[in-house]
Amino acid sequence: MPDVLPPNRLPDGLLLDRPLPIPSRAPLLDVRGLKKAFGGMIAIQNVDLSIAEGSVHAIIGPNGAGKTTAFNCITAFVPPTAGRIFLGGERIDGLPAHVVARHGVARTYQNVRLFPNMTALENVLVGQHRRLHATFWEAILGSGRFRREEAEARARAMEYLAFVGIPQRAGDLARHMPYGDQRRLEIARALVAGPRILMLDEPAAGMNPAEGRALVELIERIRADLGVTVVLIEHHMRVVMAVAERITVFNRGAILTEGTPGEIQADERVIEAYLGRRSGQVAAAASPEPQRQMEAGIA
Amino acid sequence: MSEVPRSATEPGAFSEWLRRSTWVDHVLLAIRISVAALVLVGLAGGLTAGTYSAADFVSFTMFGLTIGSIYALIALGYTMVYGILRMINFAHGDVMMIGSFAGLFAAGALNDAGLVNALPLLALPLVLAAGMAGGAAMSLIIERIAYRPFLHVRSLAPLICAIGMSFVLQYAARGLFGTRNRAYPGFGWMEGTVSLFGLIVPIPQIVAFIAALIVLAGLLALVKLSPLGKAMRAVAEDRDAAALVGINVGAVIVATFAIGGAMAGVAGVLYALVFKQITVFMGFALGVKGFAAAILGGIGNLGGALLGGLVLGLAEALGPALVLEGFGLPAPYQLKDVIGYGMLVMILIFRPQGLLGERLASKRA
Repeated sequence: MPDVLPPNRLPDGLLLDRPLPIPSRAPLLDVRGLKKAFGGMIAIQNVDLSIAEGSVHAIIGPNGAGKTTAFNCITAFVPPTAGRIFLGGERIDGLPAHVVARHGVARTYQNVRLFPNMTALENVLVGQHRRLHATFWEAILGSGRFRREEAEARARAMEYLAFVGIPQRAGDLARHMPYGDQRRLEIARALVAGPRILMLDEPAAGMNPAEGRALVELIERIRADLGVTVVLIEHHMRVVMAVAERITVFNRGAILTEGTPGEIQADERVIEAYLGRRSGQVAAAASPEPQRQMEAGIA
Repeated sequence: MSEVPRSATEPGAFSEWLRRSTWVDHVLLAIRISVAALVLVGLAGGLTAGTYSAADFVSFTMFGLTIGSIYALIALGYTMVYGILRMINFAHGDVMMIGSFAGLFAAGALNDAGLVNALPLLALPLVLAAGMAGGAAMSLIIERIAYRPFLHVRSLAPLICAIGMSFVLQYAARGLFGTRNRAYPGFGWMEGTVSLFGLIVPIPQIVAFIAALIVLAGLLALVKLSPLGKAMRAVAEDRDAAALVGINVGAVIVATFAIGGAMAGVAGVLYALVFKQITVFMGFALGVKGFAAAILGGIGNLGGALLGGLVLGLAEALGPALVLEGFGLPAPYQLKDVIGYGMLVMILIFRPQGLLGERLASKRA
């Protein structure tokens, strides 16, 4: 990991192409009455979600609760069945995925989805696709604008690789990189387009405690240094409790509750959602993992 | 299963192979050996027969490169569409036919206007441009009708639709243009031959070869350098991830079809220049050849399409004289398609990933 940079003081000013947003409590992402049905199976319904600009917001809940489906609807990866989604007051549901991305919604996937046969640097360059304006002929003829844009894009890509802590991987093929580095690369690719909101789907999955702490630190810097609002789905309670200001709990396709980490930890219903009713000792014994995680988070 | 300890009497690689192999392996090996034997016997016979002089072989080679570069142009369309959609565009050969006819009509119009004779060097690029436009337009129509509706559906419907489009195009063209062979008006300067390093080579072959190389170079530069090329690679690798970094996947697919169609249009015009005549049914046979070239080189791989086209062209041009002649066949050149299609079958059996392999599919599986 590189040293933590002091907020707002970035090398050469390359990282940021706009002023840091003034943190406000107005919702940046506003989801109203979201519903998604796959045939007769209702994956989520009545989902209202309000993400404050400049915050880190976690979404937790048991497997199959509809967390990733909500992400998929927001990023237009699947069309929602009903509901409205606003980004900064502008309605974004119904737009095609690449347009939603251009509005400033970036995401990563539960199972990393990089371009496996491209190098790390190329992956991040593709992430800047919408920033490049040189035409075909300028590219072929190697015009000044094309070369300048290419050079800028490369410098920017390197900055972001350094920001997530993998500058030494620039020339490696994505599919040859260790899993943890692939996750960092995916975050770099998402960030390089200059999004307003970054949605991380289980970024700590498969990470050991040290990597989890590094991830927490990275998310802090994404919010503080880049001014990007972060929403994350996460099962590692230690990471969630360390990084999130607010937590929304999903259960069975709907929102169970929302609150600060303290409130969520004190909420009986949350523990019940994860483990079943207190009398249901069998359920707890059958899945000790969530309990350990919850306890770890609460401790 | 417990590991068998290695002993001093370790079985040789051959007996190990015998133990593991099945009768399918034996049949395949027998086919390999017999094909190799046939080729060797034919080669020996062909080289000793002395029917052809060295100059003949050089001119066969030149012809092979020319037709090979045309195959390569067609193969690029197959390979680009496959790379992005994992689908074969079976109507691609007919896109080439339409491009060829677009070139024919442009050449006719230019001839009527007297431009072919007045500005012969300008007329050829114009005819090529018309072929490209015709091919690209046809390709876009096919994308719209046969592929776009199925973009988010996992089905074989696009393949069936494309085969249907192929017949629609052939018979529509038959109705509109007739079944007789058509010829481009003569470009004065392209008649005749030139002497190149002491060899007599028809000018159209040289023109076609050079034009194909220029177009291929342009395409490779586009894909390697431009933002569009980068977006195409990204869509080929992961369509959803590409959309989520802001790439307009639909637009990239459209661009891919348009470029592939334009390449086929160029191929159609160059074919007409070399062979002097075109028909509405030319698309099928040439389409299969282009497809064979794409498979030969490794489908999904641009460099492979180029290599596969040239190898197929050379094999067809040299094979009859080198190999078939050796068996004393009466008219070996009538059988050049046996070589082309035979290579397609052999490649599919023995090296389905093609000469340059198929990077994309191997990591996807």
